[in-house]
Amino acid sequence: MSPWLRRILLFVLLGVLVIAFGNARSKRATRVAQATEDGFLLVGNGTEPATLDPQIATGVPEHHILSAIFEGLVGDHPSDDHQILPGVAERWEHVDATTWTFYLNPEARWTNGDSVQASNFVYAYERILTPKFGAEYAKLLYQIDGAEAFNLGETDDFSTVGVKAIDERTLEIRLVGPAPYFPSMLKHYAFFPIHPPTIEKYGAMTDRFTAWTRVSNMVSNGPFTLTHWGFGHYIEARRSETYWNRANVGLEGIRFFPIVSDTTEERAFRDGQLHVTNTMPADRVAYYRENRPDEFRTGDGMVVYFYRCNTLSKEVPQLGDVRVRKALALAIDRQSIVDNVTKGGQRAAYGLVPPMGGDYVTPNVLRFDPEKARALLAEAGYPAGKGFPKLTILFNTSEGHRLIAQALQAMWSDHLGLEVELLNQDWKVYLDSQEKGDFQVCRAGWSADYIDPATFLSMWMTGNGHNQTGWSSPEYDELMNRSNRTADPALRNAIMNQAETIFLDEVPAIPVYWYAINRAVSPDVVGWHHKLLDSHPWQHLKVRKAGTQVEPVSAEEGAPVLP
Amino acid sequence: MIGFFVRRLIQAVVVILAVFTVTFIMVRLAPGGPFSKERTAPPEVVAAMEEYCGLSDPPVVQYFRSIGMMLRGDLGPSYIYEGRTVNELIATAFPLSLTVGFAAFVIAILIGLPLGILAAVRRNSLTDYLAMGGSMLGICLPTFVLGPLLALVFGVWLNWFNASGWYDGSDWVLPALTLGLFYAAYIARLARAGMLDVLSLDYIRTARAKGLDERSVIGKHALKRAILPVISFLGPAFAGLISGSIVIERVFQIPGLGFHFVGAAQNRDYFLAQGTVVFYAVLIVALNLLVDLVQAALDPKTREGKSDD
Repeated sequence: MSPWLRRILLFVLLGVLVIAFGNARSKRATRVAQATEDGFLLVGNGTEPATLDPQIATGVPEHHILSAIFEGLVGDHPSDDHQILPGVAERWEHVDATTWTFYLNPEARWTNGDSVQASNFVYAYERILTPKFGAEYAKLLYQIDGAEAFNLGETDDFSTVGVKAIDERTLEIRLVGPAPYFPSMLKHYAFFPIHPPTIEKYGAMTDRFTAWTRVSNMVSNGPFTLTHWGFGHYIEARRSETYWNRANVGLEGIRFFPIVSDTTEERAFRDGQLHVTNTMPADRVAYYRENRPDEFRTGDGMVVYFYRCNTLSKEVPQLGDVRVRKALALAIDRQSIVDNVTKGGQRAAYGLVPPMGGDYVTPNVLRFDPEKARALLAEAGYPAGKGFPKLTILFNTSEGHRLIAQALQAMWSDHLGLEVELLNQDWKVYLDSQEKGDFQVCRAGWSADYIDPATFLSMWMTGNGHNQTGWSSPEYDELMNRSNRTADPALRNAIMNQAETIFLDEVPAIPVYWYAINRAVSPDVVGWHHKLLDSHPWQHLKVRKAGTQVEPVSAEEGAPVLP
Repeated sequence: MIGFFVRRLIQAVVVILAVFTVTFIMVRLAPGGPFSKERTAPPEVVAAMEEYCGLSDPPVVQYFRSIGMMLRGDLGPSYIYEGRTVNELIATAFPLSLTVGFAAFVIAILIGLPLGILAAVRRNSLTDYLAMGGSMLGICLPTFVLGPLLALVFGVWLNWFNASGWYDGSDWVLPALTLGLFYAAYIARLARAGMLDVLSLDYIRTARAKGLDERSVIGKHALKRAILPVISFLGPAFAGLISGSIVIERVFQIPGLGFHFVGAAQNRDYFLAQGTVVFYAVLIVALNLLVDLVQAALDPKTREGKSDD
């Protein structure tokens, strides 16, 4: 045999082997098909959760998992953001929206069979509020009377805090003032109960670095129970056998995949590895909208993207002048930014509080008005930007933030004649600069913890750690304090609207756009609805097996009637 | 030989201690700490946390405490993944990085070495141009382009492999290929240069003059010396490959070491940052030591300290 013939034969043989291998491999069932058959939902979940301890967790990925394995006093509605369903509490009542009494469902159980008691909530709240525990979300509980003083170490007597177990199944919570929206706050995992004997089996009540959240150790009370935690691979939760409403849980289980890169996640979706993605790369939105409309889901998110102005800046003291800040705000063409830069269905922000579908109406104030902007800057003493010091925009290192900063740079230069430079910093350095006030103008974002305007408005009060602009308005503070004392929802909304109008008139921070939540969802998923806070009560979902019809789990199924 | 080994070992300990010290200082000098977050907790709460974690102690105390822990084999707790130790995080991530890295290493050698030698032997022929052109392409094509390309073609379109994830026994193939092809390109160029140098030496001319056939001249006489530059590259290359690549891990969703390496520094997860850096330093130093020993065995000049490294 000639060497050439041998080589050709070798290549042919290799080719046949490769094709046979490919042929065999390509016939595998997708992971989604297999999971659907088993009644499991496969979900892309962003990052690996830092913790599954409800009182320590802070992120959205953690929220997704915690809402599956734990349950708070109230439950989340599958489609309506403003409705509240019973959770561990089967009913509740209040006096002046200030003193709330929750009556616990006698069927509510921990995964080890113990009943969920009122004292479990008291224990959880003492834990999260203890200063040395260092919980970031302790602030969310400041609505409870005495919670702030206890958390700041002004007293170490927890009986001064307005949380009391009247008996095994009755919990009383006394607030600092009327808060008709309080039950909606309780959807947040910071308010979830924990099982005290389990916590203390692996450490003291306020030990942070313990192993109680491991699969074999965890005792939880949600519709699903943690069954696998493959660090960096996936987290699996299966239908709980002890959950009070287990008959109406539509899924056998859920697997959460921590896929950091959105492009990798989108490929995994097309590869049949996920039913639901966590997000969608901005450059794929148009493609999905056009070509895969039955899989593309989009909707408003309760997040605002804004720029903080440092009103106490030493380099650019002009930022303390309200006319300068307004000029900056009016010179931004927000529509152009969402149409040409972000391109993912975001909305140009005309106010601070994103539209939330309830009774609160955000003041429609912010416009693109370059002429007025120029006039304001001239009035402040800088016609056509002459004599204005160089302005630096700070943002945390990210290509997306850079593009927006560049757009602002161009707009402020074109419309106001300002010299603007960009400065990006690593995330932690950027946080440090912001906290120390070492910036002039810097990008930021804020997402809602619960559906109420206060989640966006209270941070701008004097002395609030999240203000970080140096701005202070006694009138604003007074309005916000008044809103905290007002029980009537309509009146309260009107007061907050006044406060927001003041904010937008003085623009210590300049809103740019409101987020959109984009993702791909397999048509096999039944009962998936867009939610403003992206919180999905998993027990209401189902997966449709090939060739079958499935009705979604109704929100009211099995749930006791509310008072 | 033993003196050489002991000398190198002492150097290794000094290098690792120096790397640890620099990391310890740098990660603490960087602004922001493990507990600085977007939703800042009140300063009172942060102070309480820092005291609880021993971060309020003087840096010197923390430094010697860390060294003491490390000598006992304890790399400390992670601040970001609460309830997990650095030892545990490295122990879960490293086997994956090792699998992908080792496979990539084998691919790199199997493709790079023959290609380089072939190019040298057939110098200035079409084979040479094709091999060197291909390797130039391999060096220039970044892994963040090649990786998604392979995932798209062999994962999404052909469905031969999973486009990402770590599910079954074949999930190392695409990431290893992405990494391996990049290193193969380097090895091919080094092997070609090494071989060309050797082929011009007198002893090869002598071998040929003695009438040995080309195969034994290359295989028996030239190869041993020609791969010396490749071997000195292989040590650090292997360490680099098995310590994980953040790009590959993101593209293929592999929870390997590269992720912690970058994430720890970004999050100021002090112990995780120290731990991964020291782990990497130990790997590099150990592999370099191994390379030195292999080189010394292959080439007496190195043993006598005449090499320039």
